[in-house]
Amino acid sequence: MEAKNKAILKKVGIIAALGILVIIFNQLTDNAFGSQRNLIMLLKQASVLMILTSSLMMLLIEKNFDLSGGSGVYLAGTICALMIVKSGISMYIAIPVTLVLGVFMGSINGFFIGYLGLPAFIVTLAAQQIFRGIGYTLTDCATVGPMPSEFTAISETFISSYVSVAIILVILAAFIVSHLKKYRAMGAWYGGRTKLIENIALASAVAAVLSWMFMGYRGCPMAVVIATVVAFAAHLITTKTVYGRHVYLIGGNVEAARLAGINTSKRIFQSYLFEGLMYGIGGIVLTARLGGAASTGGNLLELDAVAAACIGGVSMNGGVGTVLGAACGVIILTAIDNVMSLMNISSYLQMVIKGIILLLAICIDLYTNKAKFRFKLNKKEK
Amino acid sequence: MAGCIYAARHEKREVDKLEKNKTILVLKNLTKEFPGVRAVSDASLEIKTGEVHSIVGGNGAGKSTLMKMLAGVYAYDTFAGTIELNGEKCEFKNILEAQKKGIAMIPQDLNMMEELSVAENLFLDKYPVKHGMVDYRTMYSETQRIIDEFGLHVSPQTKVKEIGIAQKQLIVIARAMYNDVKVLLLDEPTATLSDKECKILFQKVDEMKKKNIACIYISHRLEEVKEISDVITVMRDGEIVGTAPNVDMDEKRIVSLMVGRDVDEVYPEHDRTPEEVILSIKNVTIKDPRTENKLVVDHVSFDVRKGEILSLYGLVGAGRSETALAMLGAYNGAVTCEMELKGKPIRILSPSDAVKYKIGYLPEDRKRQGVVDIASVGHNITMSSLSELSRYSVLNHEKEREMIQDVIQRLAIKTPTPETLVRNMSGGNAQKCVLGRWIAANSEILILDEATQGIDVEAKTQIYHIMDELAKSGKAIIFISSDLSEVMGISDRILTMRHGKVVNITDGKRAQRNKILWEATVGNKEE
Repeated sequence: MEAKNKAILKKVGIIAALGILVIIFNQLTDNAFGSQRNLIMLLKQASVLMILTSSLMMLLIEKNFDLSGGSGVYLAGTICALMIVKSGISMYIAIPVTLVLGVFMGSINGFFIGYLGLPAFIVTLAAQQIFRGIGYTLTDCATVGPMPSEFTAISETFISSYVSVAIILVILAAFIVSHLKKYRAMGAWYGGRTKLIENIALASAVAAVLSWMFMGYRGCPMAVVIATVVAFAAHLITTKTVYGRHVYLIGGNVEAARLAGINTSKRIFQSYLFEGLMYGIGGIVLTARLGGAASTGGNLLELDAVAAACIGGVSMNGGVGTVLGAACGVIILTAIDNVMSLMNISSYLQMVIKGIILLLAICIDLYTNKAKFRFKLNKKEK
Repeated sequence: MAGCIYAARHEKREVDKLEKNKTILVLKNLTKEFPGVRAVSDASLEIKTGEVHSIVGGNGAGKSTLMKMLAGVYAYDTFAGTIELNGEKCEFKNILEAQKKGIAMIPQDLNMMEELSVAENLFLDKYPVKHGMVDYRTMYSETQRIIDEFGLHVSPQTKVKEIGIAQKQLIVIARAMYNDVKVLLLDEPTATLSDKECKILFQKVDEMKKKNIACIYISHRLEEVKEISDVITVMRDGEIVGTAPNVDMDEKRIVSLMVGRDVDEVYPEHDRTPEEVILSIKNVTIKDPRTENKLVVDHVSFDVRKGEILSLYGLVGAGRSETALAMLGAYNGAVTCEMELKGKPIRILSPSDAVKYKIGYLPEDRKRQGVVDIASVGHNITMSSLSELSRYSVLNHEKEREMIQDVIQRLAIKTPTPETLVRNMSGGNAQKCVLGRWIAANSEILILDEATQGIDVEAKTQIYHIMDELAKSGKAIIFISSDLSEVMGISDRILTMRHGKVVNITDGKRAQRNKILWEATVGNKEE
């Protein structure tokens, strides 16, 4: 009973901390942070990062890595822009081609890391140089644009407020129904009635906040819709598919996974294919949002994605992490970015602060996910 | 200046000259306990200068533990009993302190810095220094002197990874001698050596004897022990069961001391009737990646029947795990292996192929190869049967839950919930998760490699009963074990291996402990 109380207390504590954080952010920015407009811009800003994080977190869970994420997004976006602006190819052809190209780029990484067994860190470091280098060579480092308005609409259109809220309500209803069904079917495995109430309450609260935001400004931007769909797909993959389960097991102990009959090479290759698909989607959304492909596009995005995943509880030691956590990490990181920009902190100082936050997040990861840290402390006491 | 230090040390060695046949090391009532096991109990020994004292015993007899106590690997306050060197009581906190007093151990795995040179490895803990910089001149010339003394044909600058194991061993021995060793502990030094390299090593041991250094030599190869020793001590279950001069210890007496008595009956009464052959293995051969012209596994062939437990018995290094890994396509190296499943030839190139043919493998090293300890009990159980639990690669959580509950009940796995992480569980329960994985996958053939190692008696008994039930339901079990009692207790047939070869296959009910152990240690030679 006491353990249960403790768990509830912990959850209440986290929510209270978030609330206090929002209030502090609001105070720091003269109430600019909490405005509906700003919050929607924040979500839009977070969308590309969310797209990349939802695949990079799988690589991290698998105990792999990708340094070429930002460059991959940049190259895919640049080539898409070149096709449309320079070659005049219809965007309905250019978009699928970009996605295929992204998957191909991922497959290069996947081949060397999965099948040849080279260290992911080095392979993707090389890929980072190659991808960005190709982009610079093709464009002479210039911005490619402007993109036609039909293309920018991919990111910039707003779904009107009432439609957005209606969609949110439909999703909420679907969530509640599916959880009720799961609760009936799984019984004790679900985690009891309190867990059910908790989940529904949390989902309703999130839906309420989102509805309030969308009603107060122009509605829901398309970029956010795309990011949400991608994140939801990643959630389904990690929790419901054999592939997803294998990713966790490989990250937990690759040797045990291999001896248990899991084809580890193939799985690692596949996870880089998925990462490649995200280069494509991320590149398209980024280009659409900026209205063109700038040479700085996607710069250091991969490191932001790692930071977000880490803040969201994805273990750097592999085997642990959820999409929901990573999404929280993305929003927290973007919110901090947003607040610092609103406060007119120089972008150089922003880098310092983000670095410190990442360091803190990794310490927390070590403390919660691995016994190693505690073990070290114990040894010292001896 | 550095030169002076070494000259001084050299002189000191001359002064410290050891007298022959004097008792140098006395062990009194040494006892070391690990959680749940008494690895060494009440061991007392006397070692004299200039003698080679061999300690023999089966796996887990406590030989290595005893050596580690002597060499300071286990600090003096973690075990009971006293160690006296030259009449002086020794309390070593670590290996360095033992080395300073002159007790050096050559461990089984040599732990050398592969990327550094021979000279750097020799001077590892005390590089000669001049003006705050490493004095390579002195280091290389000193090394050359030692190399010449040992008759090694390498240059001081050679990287250690480029030289053979025997030479590495000699370098470690040289390092020990250089540090004024009085007692040298050699733990299974010949396990990875070729015959020729063994000869060089024995020659060195002989030379050391002449310098009146006491050598303690651990091995389970009786022929070597007979060749090299002055005194032989036999250990069994952590106790010293006999010490006598070499001449009074013939192979027969050693084996009978090693065998001992039967332990309490914990094995299920079995009345299984093995059926037809399900899997035949032919000519498994594995080359030693480290030594040329040496085979780790040498043309091993055997059949496994439905409904039987076939034990692979042998001492460490006999090539049993390697055979199993070769069968699964999981061995890291050049392997030839022909297999027939129910009369049809099959090729297994990776463990995922093996799973398709319903062959399951429980690995030797549970922590490193067996469980995913950061995943839940449930996920560990179902990890090899996910394809049956899914449709279009989408998992059916309800079916999975049923399977997990079924396995947990069948194997009586003690876990608060199926979501509990394996790393929070006891060894026995974690092992049952791995076993449950193959039961869930409905494996026809189970290879269990040291399945009962490091788990408590209760869990052991349960695992024996599970094995018995599985065999009765028509599964074939290949049981790799170094524990003679359990092999005797549970097997339908016992296959003994030695030096990578099959020595004999015996009917489990008619097998005699002495004969099985004889085959594993001495080989085919008649008693």
